[in-house]
Amino acid sequence: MNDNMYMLILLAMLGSALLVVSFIVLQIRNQNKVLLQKRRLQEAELFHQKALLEAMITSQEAERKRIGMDLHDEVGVVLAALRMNMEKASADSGASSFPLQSFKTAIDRVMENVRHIVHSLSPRISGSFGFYDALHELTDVVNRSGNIVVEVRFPEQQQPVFADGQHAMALYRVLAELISNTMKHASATLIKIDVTLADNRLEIEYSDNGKGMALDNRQTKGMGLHNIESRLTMIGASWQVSTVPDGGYSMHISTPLK
Amino acid sequence: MKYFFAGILVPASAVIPVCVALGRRQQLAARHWILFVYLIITLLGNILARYLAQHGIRNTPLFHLHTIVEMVLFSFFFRTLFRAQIIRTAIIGIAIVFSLYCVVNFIFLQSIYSFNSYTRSIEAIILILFCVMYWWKGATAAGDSPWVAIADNWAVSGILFYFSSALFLFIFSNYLLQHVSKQANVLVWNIHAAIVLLMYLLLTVTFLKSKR
Repeated sequence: MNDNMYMLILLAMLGSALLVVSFIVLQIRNQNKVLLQKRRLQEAELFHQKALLEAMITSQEAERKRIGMDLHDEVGVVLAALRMNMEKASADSGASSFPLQSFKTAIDRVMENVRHIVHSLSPRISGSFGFYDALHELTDVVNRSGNIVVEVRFPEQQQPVFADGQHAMALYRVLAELISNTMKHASATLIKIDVTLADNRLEIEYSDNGKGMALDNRQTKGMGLHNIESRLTMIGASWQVSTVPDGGYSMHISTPLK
Repeated sequence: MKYFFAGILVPASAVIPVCVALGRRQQLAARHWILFVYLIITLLGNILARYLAQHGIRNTPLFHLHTIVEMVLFSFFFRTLFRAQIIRTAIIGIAIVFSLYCVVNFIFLQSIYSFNSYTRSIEAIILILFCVMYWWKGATAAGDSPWVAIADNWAVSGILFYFSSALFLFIFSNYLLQHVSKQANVLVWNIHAAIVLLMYLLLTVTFLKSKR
C-alpha cells in the first residue's frame, strides 16, 4: 500500500512535469507561428509597395515619353514648317528684312528649347543599351553651361548590359537629379562620376566638392531625394550617402545587372 | 552520501544564476533583481537549514518562513509583468493574505515542526495561476521578439515547471514522511532536487537574456 502511494506521487509529478513541458512547447510553437505570419505579412506589404512604386515610375516614364513625342512631332514639325515658310518668304521678298530675320532667330531658339525639353523628358536610352551615351550627353550639356565641371570616368569597353530598359532609365534619372541638386544647392565647382563594372554589378560613385549637408537634414528631404531613393529601390540597388557640412556630398550606388 | 545531491549539490547550484546575475549586473532588468534576491535568500536558508540539521536542531520552521518570503518575492516579480492596475493590486493583496494564512497555519493548523504541506501546496497553486495569467497575456499581446529571446518567458517557465511538478509532492509530503520507507523518501526528494536544479538553470538563462 505504501509503495503504491509512493509510485502514484511519482507518476503524478511526472505527469505534471510533462503537461507543463507540453504547454510551454505549444506556447513556443504558437508564438513562432504568429511571428512567421507577421513577417510574411510585412514581406507581402513590402512587395506590394514595391510593385506600386514600380507601376508609378513606369507610368510616369511612359507619360513623359508621350509628352516628349507629342512635343517633338507636333510642335517641332510646326516650328520647322514655320521656319521654312519664313525662309521662303524672305527669299521671295529678295532682301533680308530685319523682322523676318529676328523671327527666324526666335523660332530657332524655341526649337532648341523644345529639343532640350524633349530630350530631358525622354532621353535617348533604348533597350538595354544607351546609358553610356545618354550620361555623356547629359554631362556635355551641363559642361557647356560653363558654371560647373562634370568629370565622367566611364570606360567605353565597360558598357553595362541591363536586364531591362528601366534600369538604365532609372540610373540616368538618379544621376540627373543628383547633378541638378548639386547645381541648385551645393555651390560646387566640380562633379565626379565614376562608373565601373564588377562582379556583375554596376558601381557608381558620385561626388561633388560643394558645401555638403548635415546627415540629419536628410530627414527633411524634398521630392528630389525621395525620387532618387524610390528609383533605386525599384531597381534593387543599394546606396550609401556620405556628406558633412563644407565637406562635399557623395553617393555610392551599387546595382545588380541581372 | 545519499543526501549529497539533494542536500549539497543542488542547494549550492543556486550560485550559478547568482554569479551570472552579478556578471551581467549592468544589463540586468530591475525586476530580475527580485529573482536574484530570492536566490540569495534561498542559498542562505539552505546553509542555515544544513547547519541546524547538523547540530540536531529541527529546521522545519525555516520552511514555514521561506514559504512566506518566496511567495512575497515571486508576487513582486509577477506584479512587474502586468500592466493592468487591478491585477497588480490583486497580486499584492493575494501575497498579503497568503502571508497571514501562513502565520495562522503554523499557529493553529500545522505544527511549525512539521512540513508546511498546506501552505506550500496553496503557494504552488497560486504561482501556477500567476504563470498561466502571464502566458494568457503573452498570447493576446504577442510582440515581435521570438519566444526564446524574452527573458521573462524563461523565468516563468522555471517557476511553472517547478511548482506544478512538485505540487503533488507538497500535498503528500507529510504522508510520505510518515508512511513511506526512508529509501523511497530519499528518491522522491532527489527528484524534487532535480526539478529545483532545472528551475535554477532556467533562472540562469533569464539572467543571460535579461535587458534593461
